[in-house]
Amino acid sequence: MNRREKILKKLNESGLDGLLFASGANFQYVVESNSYFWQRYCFNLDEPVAGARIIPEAMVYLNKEGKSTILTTPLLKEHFDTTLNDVVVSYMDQFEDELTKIIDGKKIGIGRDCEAWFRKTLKVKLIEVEDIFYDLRRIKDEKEIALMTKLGKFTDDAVMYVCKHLKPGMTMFDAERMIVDYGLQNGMADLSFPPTCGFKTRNTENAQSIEPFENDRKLVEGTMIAFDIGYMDRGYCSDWGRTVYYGKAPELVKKGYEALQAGETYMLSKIVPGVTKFGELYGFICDKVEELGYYDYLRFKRDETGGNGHHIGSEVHELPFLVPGDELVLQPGMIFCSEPKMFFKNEGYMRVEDMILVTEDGAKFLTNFPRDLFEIEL
Amino acid sequence: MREDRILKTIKELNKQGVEAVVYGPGANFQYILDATDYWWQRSCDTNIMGFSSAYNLPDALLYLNNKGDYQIICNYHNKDYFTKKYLGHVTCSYMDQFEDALAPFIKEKRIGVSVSCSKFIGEILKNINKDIEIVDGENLLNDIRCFKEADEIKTLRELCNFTDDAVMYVVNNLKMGMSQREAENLLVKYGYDHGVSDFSFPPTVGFKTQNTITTEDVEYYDREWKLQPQTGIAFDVGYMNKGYCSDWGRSVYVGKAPDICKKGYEALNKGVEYMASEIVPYKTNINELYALVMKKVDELGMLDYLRYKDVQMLGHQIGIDCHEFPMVNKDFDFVIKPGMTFAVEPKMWFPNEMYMRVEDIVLITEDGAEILTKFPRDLFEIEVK
Repeated sequence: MNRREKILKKLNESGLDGLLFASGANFQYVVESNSYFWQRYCFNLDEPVAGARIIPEAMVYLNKEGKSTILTTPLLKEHFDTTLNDVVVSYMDQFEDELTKIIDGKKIGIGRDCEAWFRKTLKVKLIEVEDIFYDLRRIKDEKEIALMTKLGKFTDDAVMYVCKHLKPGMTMFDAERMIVDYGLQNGMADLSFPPTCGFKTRNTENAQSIEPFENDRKLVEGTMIAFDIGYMDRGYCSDWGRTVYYGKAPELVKKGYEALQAGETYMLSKIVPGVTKFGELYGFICDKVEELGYYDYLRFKRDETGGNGHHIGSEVHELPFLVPGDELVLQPGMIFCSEPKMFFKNEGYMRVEDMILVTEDGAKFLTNFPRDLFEIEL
Repeated sequence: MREDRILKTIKELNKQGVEAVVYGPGANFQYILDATDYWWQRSCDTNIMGFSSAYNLPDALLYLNNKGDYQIICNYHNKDYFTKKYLGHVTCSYMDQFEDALAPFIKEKRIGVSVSCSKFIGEILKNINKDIEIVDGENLLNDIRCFKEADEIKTLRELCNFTDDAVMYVVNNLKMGMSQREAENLLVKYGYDHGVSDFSFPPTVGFKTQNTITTEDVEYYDREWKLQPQTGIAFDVGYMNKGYCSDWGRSVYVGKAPDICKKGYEALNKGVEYMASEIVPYKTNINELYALVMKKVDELGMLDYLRYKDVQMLGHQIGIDCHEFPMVNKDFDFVIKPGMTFAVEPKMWFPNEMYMRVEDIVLITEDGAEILTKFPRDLFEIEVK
């Protein structure tokens, strides 16, 4: 089944007459066009306050027969594939009129993007269907996998660039600015979220707790740097983590980082597509970390929710978040992030985050930054 | 970049005790940067009821302080547009980074923000410094923007001509049995076929047929109503192009019009022409204009039919936004000066007969006023097949 067929199957199962999406992840998914830059805003998913209230400049209606119609402004029309979609061009103030003509059903599924405008404008019954689309979008096709593989590699390279350009005395903000500039100079359309190059310097007040990070904290020997970086390009996101140590690291944290990485690779090796459940993954990490004697340093314990990971695609956080006990089974084509963390009081904060693609017979990392690169020479 | 506009803005900032402004894409943003070809999402009445646009997310921000320092913060995808025009004053960044990109420039404590994207801008300014006092920046430039410069007048003049032509096209293409919606769609088509970028607001080609009017609400239209003999049509049409808006009105009557309506339409038009002819720049006040229309309409014996006599509401300034300040009514005290462009829109209501409107854009010149909308005032009764 191709993407359109899969969407139609879901649509028919749902009992809805059609689907209507404004500029956003589901819109991009339905129209199969990723050159149009919709303003994404990190965490719109968690707090859709902004995105829900934006006025749409493009929207798509898909009916039960599989006919999709894009309604947009003259300015944006060239972005859309007219072999797959009808494109109706009108003025924004006329969208209500045009949309009323396009919609041929009484019970329509909508997303959260521009939800307020849809609810104000349309008289038909509107039902939020973001969840259905998370189910659909969770399995990536070849094109999506290729784009996200490239993004994983790009992020590897960006952080390597930063590691090579670290200078004593530079601030955390300076380091993060390098991430931004590297993206801008290399044609990345956006960030997935504000980047963090989290500095924690041993035996300082700053290393007493995980939060907060301080933008003006200066890089000195004995600083642990926890990266949390994501770029967005051609409609897809990366999300990425590693940790490096500026100077010679104490044995405890060096071994800790090895344990964290070992946990991550062990978890990946345990994946059996069609069998393993998302709710089991963090347990594998815990098993390995415990075996290596570092369980106490894990930020989240076995049964804790938070920070284990999430699905990723055209939004950086796609649902569901990975939580213990999640029954969802891993299937080929899924891409998710696993992000275990450790905290060493007085020493620093450490994180690893990988984008993982589930394959036919296992899983593979899309993020391949060397796992044994920890100590950075001054 | 328009240095003259920056200087004017600084003067306004100082006058109103505002140290800097941060504007999202919108009318003031366009005005200061003279970015007439930058398409921001406008929606009618943003300036008056800016509820939706307040939640928009900016793809560009303009910072300008009272010393004349300015910086544009923009996204990757509009980098080329801004750097070409404002080299040396552009920070290209990502939206999630706008706060950081803006922070180094913000030294001020009292900052005006636009309605457009105000939620986002307010949040990032508070993050930059929680002591910043955020004030309304949308109306800071009203007193500058109401005086148009030569290039703005040229654009408005072109738009008025265009709107004249568009409505003539509709008048020539009306068909019996056509719905109001279809007539309005002719305006969409005409605009789109001629490459005009947007409407100023949703157009109305308001049909009211003799002896079928069941409501006193003159603004209510059944858009599926079919065109038939003895229908009065009130046009309210505005196009937006090159960053400026038109706002336009006339009325026509399908078939032979009742004498009272014919007389009314003549009086309404005469009222507008008389009002314009009486304007003396630097002397006439905006709050006197409705009374001038009223005077002429009264002379012609049609005062009973004129609407809004209580509030004496006549219209509004027009430019980048369709509705700008000062409004033209008896409560706005503002002496008329050259360069002002405003829409005057007196209306009449004939129960059981028709609703009638005329709307013109008036330009104030050095020695009087010129009406920029030239659609023939004697075209009232029309034949439709």
